[in-house]
Amino acid sequence: MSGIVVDIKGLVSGYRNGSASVYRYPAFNAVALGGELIALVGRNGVGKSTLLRTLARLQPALSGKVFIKGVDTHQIPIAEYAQLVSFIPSEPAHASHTTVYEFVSMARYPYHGWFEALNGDDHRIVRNAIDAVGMQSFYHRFIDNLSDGERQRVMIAFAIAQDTPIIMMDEPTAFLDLPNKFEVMRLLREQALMGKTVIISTHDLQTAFGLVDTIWLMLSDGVRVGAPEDIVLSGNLNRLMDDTPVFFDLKSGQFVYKHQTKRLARIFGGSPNIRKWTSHALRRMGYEVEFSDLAHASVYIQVQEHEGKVQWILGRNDRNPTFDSIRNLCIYLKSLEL
Amino acid sequence: MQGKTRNVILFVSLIVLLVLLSLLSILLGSVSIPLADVKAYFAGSAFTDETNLAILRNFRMPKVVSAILAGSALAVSGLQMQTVFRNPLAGPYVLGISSGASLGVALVLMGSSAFGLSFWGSQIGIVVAALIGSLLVLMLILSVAVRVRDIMTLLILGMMFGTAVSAITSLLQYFGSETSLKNFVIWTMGSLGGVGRQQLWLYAALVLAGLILAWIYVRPLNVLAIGDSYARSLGFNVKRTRFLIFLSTSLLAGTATAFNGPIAFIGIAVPHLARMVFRTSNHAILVPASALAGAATLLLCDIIAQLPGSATVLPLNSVASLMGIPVVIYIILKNKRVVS
Repeated sequence: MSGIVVDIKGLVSGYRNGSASVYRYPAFNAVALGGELIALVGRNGVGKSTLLRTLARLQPALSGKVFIKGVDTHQIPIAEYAQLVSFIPSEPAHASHTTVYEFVSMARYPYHGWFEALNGDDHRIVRNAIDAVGMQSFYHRFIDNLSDGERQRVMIAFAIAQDTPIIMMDEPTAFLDLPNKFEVMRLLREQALMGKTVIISTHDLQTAFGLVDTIWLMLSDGVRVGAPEDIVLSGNLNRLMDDTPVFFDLKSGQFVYKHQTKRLARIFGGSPNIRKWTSHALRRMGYEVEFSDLAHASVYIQVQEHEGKVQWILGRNDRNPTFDSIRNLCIYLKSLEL
Repeated sequence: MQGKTRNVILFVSLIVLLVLLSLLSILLGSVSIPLADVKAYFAGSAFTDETNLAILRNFRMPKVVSAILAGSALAVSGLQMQTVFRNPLAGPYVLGISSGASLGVALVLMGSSAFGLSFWGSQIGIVVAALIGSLLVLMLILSVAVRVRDIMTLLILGMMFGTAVSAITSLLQYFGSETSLKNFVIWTMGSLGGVGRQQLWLYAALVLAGLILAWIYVRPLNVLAIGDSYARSLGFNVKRTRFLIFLSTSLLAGTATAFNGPIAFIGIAVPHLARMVFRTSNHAILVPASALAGAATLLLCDIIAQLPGSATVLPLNSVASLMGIPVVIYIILKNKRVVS
């Protein structure tokens, strides 16, 4: 990582309606470095898009300043700003009869007067951008006929072709399935490795925590900045889920439901993997789980492995209901509750 | 590139078609004029028949020129509105421009009988009144456009303005005398014949100004078609761009309405045809393509309306609607999402 690219000083973003500000997010200080992949994380409605759009200058800041490479952004004309920051909004681009190539070519407009045609360099940059996201066989496809994953890759190509040191994307993984999410994050990481500063917003914590360098965690009272691991260890992640039945389990690194009931299940026998996934199912059903066969539990589950077959036995002795899958075990436990 | 040769071929064919239709429109009508006379007219040589010369000079040529002007103006303004509003059913009149023009004309034609006022009800008076009417609505729209962010709000406001202005026009119609009412209804049917030779220069200058403005704004139009956010993040000033595009639209649609009456459906149907034939949404191609196709379509409508060989002339607006509506229906059914 190299020097400071974006320096945010006391930025207040929000909406103003007449003279009164209808929504304002607390002042925000942070720096973004070259080569850094940053995720702006927060709950729906906390103002991620607003903050990102303010940074991209699509809407004015209520107060505060942003410096890009030391220059106050207020002093950069909006047309020049387009050579510094490329912003991809969350609403996907739709336009009839627009090919991928035509669309990505528009990203070169900031470099030309209104009547200058795109030159050979531009066309090379556009081709390289489309190739970089693996869409080389889609040049002449209409963007309306792409799948969500393909379209999001084209959006990244658009940002690459705009050739800016800073890329911002609002919810780039929102409509994507898991493989496409990873692909999009891989492509963005690739851009960061080439020295660009990439800032995305997302509500998808799992994606963000696995794949970014830095998290800007937007809580209702301000932003916490840190590596994903810093955020986890500081306990701030649970602040994100105040007033919800979900919490982040430090030990397993997963989000889990809090349950009202304090029933205890004990699991013993079998391989660690089977015990682990059995406990996963039981937690979902509202049990606390321990791996032992000590007394004082509401449910005992004994795992037995026999010639490659797994059996789950309810209770501590052998003369008890036996199940050949976790699903059947769960169905039985549920019937007991009724 | 393969697409480039295709576009060149399409443009050449469009121009050839336009020339052919112009020629047909000159030749055909209630009186058929021999081709030799047309040649003589353009060559400037002596005429055998002075009547034919007069018809050519004073009726057919102005008619063809005003058809080309109105057709291209309406098609390009329709294209601009569909792009800016990202709505396939937007046309040159969504902003209430024709309603404003209608009110102006209604005031001129019926004001006298309704209020006991006397207006100058001549041809040029109608044109001036229509221009003033559409300009007033335009001012209203533009003053709102610089304040309102949301494009759909603007669309609805435009429709509201149009409806309000139409309501006033209806009132005038209700109180107007029978003769003036008939004159007004005839104006609303659209006609290419009413433009005199002297007015053509003004007509051409206004349309040209609008077309040049449209041509300057080709790139912003391309980006606005994708979305306002994209336009903004590429460094375009969206509000100013929108303002100037509206100015161009109003100039084009307002002028065409003023001179030829409110001609329906050319503005909605032709841009779709251009998009379909040229298979692009690049406005560097769509603007000239729509202009040429609009001119050709209106000429074709006029040829049909003249019912060659007979003395009857059908209302231009009815012919344009009957030709335009099937195109719009076909397009909507074919690609269910024309513009998202």
